[in-house]
Amino acid sequence: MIRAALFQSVRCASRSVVRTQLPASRAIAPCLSVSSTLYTRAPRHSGIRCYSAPAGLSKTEVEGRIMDLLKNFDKVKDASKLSSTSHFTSDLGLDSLDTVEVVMAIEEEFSIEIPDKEADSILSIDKAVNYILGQPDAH
Amino acid sequence: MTSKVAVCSLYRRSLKLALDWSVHRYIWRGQALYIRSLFEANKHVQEPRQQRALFEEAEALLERWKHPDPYIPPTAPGGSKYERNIPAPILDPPPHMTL
Repeated sequence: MIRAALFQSVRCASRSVVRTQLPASRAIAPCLSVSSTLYTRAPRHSGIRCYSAPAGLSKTEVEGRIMDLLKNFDKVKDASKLSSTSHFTSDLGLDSLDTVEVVMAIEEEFSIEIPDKEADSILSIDKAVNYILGQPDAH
Repeated sequence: MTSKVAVCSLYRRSLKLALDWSVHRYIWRGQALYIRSLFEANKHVQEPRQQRALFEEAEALLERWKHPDPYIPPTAPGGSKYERNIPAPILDPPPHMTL
């Protein structure tokens, strides 16, 4: 897929080069303009996104990843109570040390480091989601 | 500070310290289980004096095992990427002066 995208963007770039040269070359080779109209115009491609570019996380993705993490956490007794707003201690039946472990697991999942002060305030799934969305280097 | 908050802080700091020493998570997990068992063993201690003794013991252990080069996340203060590419504070040109 990336090869196709690359090929398309290169083709776009080469066509724009031809288009800029057109006014000068028209007097010499009028057939050039004909050949350029032969191609159907491809939808404008915005180029390739580099791997280093920040992709940004959508809210549903963050939520889904945190839910999967909690689903696999064996101390969550009732997985049916998992929802986007469930509280770690009151809904999922985790104690305070389990909450610390969950926050550590969230750190591992998104490869970020949560400072101790913020880590204490993450007590439910929606708070965790909001915190992750506020972090630019979470991925 | 209630004892619950203190215990959570101690637990978190000990997990972090264990992670500093054993960089890989798969090594760390066993240590985390061991640390958890140590905390669980003193779960029912209610006496404040005993609690304080336990806290001091844990703090002494954390101090003794303090890592010389702990992991600091890149964008945190002290990290390798901290304050990299910060925006320039003043971008406007100075006002035109007529003397």
